[in-house]
Amino acid sequence: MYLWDTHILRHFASGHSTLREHLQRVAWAEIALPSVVVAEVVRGRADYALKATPQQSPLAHRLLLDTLHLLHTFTWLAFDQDSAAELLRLQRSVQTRKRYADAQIAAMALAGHHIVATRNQAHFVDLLPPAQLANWIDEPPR
Amino acid sequence: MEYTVILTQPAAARWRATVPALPDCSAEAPTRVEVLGKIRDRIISVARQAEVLRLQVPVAPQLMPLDAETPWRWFGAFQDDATWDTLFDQLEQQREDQALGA
Repeated sequence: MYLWDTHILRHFASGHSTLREHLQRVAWAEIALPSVVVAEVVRGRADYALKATPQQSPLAHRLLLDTLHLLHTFTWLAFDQDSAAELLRLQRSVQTRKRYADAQIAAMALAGHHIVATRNQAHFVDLLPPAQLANWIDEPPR
Repeated sequence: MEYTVILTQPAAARWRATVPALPDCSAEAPTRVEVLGKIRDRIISVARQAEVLRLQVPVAPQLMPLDAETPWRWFGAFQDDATWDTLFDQLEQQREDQALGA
């Protein structure tokens, strides 16, 4: 499956033209959101709603619910025991500084033999082999 | 023992019988009566040599919804939402703040 990193979701809801081309070539059933990304986006929208001023609140709460509906259109992939084992292995083996959420997503891809669709390929160097990375924003389909 | 038999007639003088529970067990004959006789013999032949057991495995196949089409109505749904890009900029910053092993 293709696991979407946050930026791919960002550009899905922004209507990015290159992403549209990829989506026309890949079955929706082959795409999933890692639970890491779901958690980040829900936390961000929920924080905004809970901290909004009275003036901001109607919009903030509507956007929270709209975002939940958007997330529900995706297959969600849970960070499971195999992912945890891969993350521990990465923690022991990777020498350079890596962002924790990137490593979590990479561990899920390693555990399930998935491909991470991301715009931040540089962050996944040393975490995933090139064959398990795809940039659906800057690289059009071949 | 009873087995479910699927009978089809692909041509005027051609009957075909298959047994879903025994995927390699099938028969063809020019009449319905003949094919039923043949498939009965095949089932007996297979069943005499077969052992039936149930194996437990620790994984289940992933279920995919049949109607999973790209939800285009959501494509570009937040393009006019100024907070959408801000949200992802903040998420990016939060990722920077937490390192593997930290």
